[in-house]
Amino acid sequence: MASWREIWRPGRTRDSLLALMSAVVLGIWQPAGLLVTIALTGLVRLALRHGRQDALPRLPTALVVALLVATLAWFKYVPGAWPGVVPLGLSFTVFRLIGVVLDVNALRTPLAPSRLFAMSLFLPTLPAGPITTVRSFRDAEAGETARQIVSHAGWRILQGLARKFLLADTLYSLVIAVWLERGVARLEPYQCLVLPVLLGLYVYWDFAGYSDVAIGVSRLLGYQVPENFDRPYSSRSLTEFWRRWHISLSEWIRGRLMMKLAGRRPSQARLHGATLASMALCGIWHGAGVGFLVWGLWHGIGLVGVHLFQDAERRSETLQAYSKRFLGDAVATGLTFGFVTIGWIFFFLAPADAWALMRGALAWRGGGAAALAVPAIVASALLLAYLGAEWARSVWMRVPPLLRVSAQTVLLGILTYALLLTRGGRQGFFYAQF
Amino acid sequence: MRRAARALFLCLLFVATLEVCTRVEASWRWEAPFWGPYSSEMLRITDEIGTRNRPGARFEKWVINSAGFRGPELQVEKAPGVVRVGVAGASEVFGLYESPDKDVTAQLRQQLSASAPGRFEVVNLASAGITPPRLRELFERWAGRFGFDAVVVYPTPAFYLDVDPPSHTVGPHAGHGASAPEAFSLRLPDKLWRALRELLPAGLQAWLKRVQLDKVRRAHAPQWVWSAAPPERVALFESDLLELVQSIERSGARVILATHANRFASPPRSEDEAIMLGWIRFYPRASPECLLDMERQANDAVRRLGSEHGLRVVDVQELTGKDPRYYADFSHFTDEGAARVAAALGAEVRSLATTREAP
Repeated sequence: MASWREIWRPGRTRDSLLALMSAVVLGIWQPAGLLVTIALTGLVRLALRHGRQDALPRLPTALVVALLVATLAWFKYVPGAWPGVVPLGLSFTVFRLIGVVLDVNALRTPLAPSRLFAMSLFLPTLPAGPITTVRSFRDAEAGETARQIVSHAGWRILQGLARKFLLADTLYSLVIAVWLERGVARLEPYQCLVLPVLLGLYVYWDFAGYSDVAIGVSRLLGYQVPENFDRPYSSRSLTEFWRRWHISLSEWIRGRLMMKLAGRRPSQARLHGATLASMALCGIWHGAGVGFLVWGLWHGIGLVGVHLFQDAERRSETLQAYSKRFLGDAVATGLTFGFVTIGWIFFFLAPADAWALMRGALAWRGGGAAALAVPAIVASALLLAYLGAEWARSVWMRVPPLLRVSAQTVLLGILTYALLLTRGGRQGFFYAQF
Repeated sequence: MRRAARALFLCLLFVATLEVCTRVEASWRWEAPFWGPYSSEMLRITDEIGTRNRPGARFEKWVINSAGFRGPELQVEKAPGVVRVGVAGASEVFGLYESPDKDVTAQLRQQLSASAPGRFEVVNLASAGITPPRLRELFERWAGRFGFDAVVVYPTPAFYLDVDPPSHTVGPHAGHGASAPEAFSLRLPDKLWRALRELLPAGLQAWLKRVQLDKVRRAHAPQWVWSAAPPERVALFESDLLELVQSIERSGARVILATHANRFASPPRSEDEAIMLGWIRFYPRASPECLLDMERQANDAVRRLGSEHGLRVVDVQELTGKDPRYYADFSHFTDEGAARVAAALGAEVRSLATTREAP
């Protein structure tokens, strides 16, 4: 009788088993959603052309991509279009499948049906990514012992749960929910200034926490999925931010949308137009609200601005000198953070509330506790998000093993308590709604 | 050996972390002492007055004032022109599942204060598990001195289906000192037990309750379980209630009676079966039919007492109409249910106050 290790070694058997297990779990939870996901994956299978150069797909790529996009639009933007539920992680599934069909057909990469279904139904990444591609969804590298895998993956999951349940949910239930319930119009000016920062931290801890869990669980299952965050708020420009924030989505948008819209050797104007259009679509991908569109356009305008500035800097030595003198790393990071933070206002709030919040923030004249609170909170947020993490990482590696495992045990205890023994304050994963 | 010691240390560290988290949460949410004793037992005391709420105690959302009543502080002498209203009963009106300040008495206080600011003072005279004889004891030995103008009585008939009927001998409590809570005890086991109960699937919970009930009943003959409310228990309920009413009236307060409400409709809803099991396990001698029969007969007795003695009766059972939205379990209210009851009681209290003022 074959051992479990033999069955679970990389290959078609493991992919098939994984797809089957995922289907069973998803089927119990959301049978209609499972059927839609399987149908879309089957459709993609028919559009794949790989192997010989002259091999033709049974369905044209463009038709399948159009059908995938139409399905997404149908479920997501037509209210009450489907009487049941929207398939879990549909936005991510559609992007994943479009990526598969474009990549496989362009690269002629072989893709077994078992692999396609394993990718499409892979539970850890199904609800909210990372958006895997044929290349980024890999079998984990061999070489680690089972104990090392469990240790590394377990620690990653623990980190993710801590980010999500200790940081994101605590911040949300203690401050954000209370302030939003009070109503934006009733917030103090300093609260209007601080709220966007808190929203930015919340979404980062929530989504990065989810991604940590997805990456850790994938590793336990023997797979490697791409990283989704790389300390995004330490970015010195908006272009860098988008290389560090929701990496799998931004790479997808850049490679499969923006480059296609811009075409080969595009003019400056066309490139900027493609950037704006791509970011607008990226915004709408999150939902049909005006706020998402404004958020996307805000980032599109920001990216075009950065490109224009960098072009001008390349041409002008004076600008280079000024830039070097006044735009050090700290200032650039602060400006990028501020720009991204303003964007979160549109992302989270209805347009009327967003404008009210900005008016409230502009009314801030300092003074009292607020004068200290605003810069302190912003600075703490930055320190916590980047410097703290970097410093903690370096210190962590020097900690004696017993102390390290003790700290992990304490964290596990706190998480167990937060998850199982205390009521209220827990939110669903924010990005799972998209 | 070294590995075992290390594993033991980590297990202890894990448990210690959970214990510290329990204490930190209680301190932060409920202002509980971090080190001192802290349990629901702290809310009760048995002293020369009887078994009642411990003055000045607090546990989670329940805060007892220095007079031993749930709610804000209270002076013995009421301010001139103020109508002081008491709400007497067991856990249904003491407040169990409602959010803080959403129990029946708190909502009655808020509603009366909104309609006539400063005119009414509403006091929660209830205590979990208190029977009519014990309420009478409390009123005669303690609560009566607070000069109530009106007292709402919301009696719980199910207590009369206990194995032993409520004792109606009001006498001195010799030898009963204040039961002091333990100086230090782990809070985690209680927390774990409560969490476990919530996590267990409803079916499994029902099965466990059934096993518990069957175990008690197996020790007795089949006729030990009542299929209908025993007439002597109904009669005892009625006489105890009458004595309580007379005792309150002797203090000069007017009595408003309320019928007892439960969620069980006829025919029963599918989800009610497990809830009934949760109720009946407190009264192993009673079958579901017996419990509902007791409720029906006791409510008839309340109405009869009202009409015979000229008392106002608020028919809470009729008002809530068995609507499951109003119940958190078999008979305890949700915030919405408590609001509904408070509104009905409020109308009666306002009407009573107007009648008293009329020349």
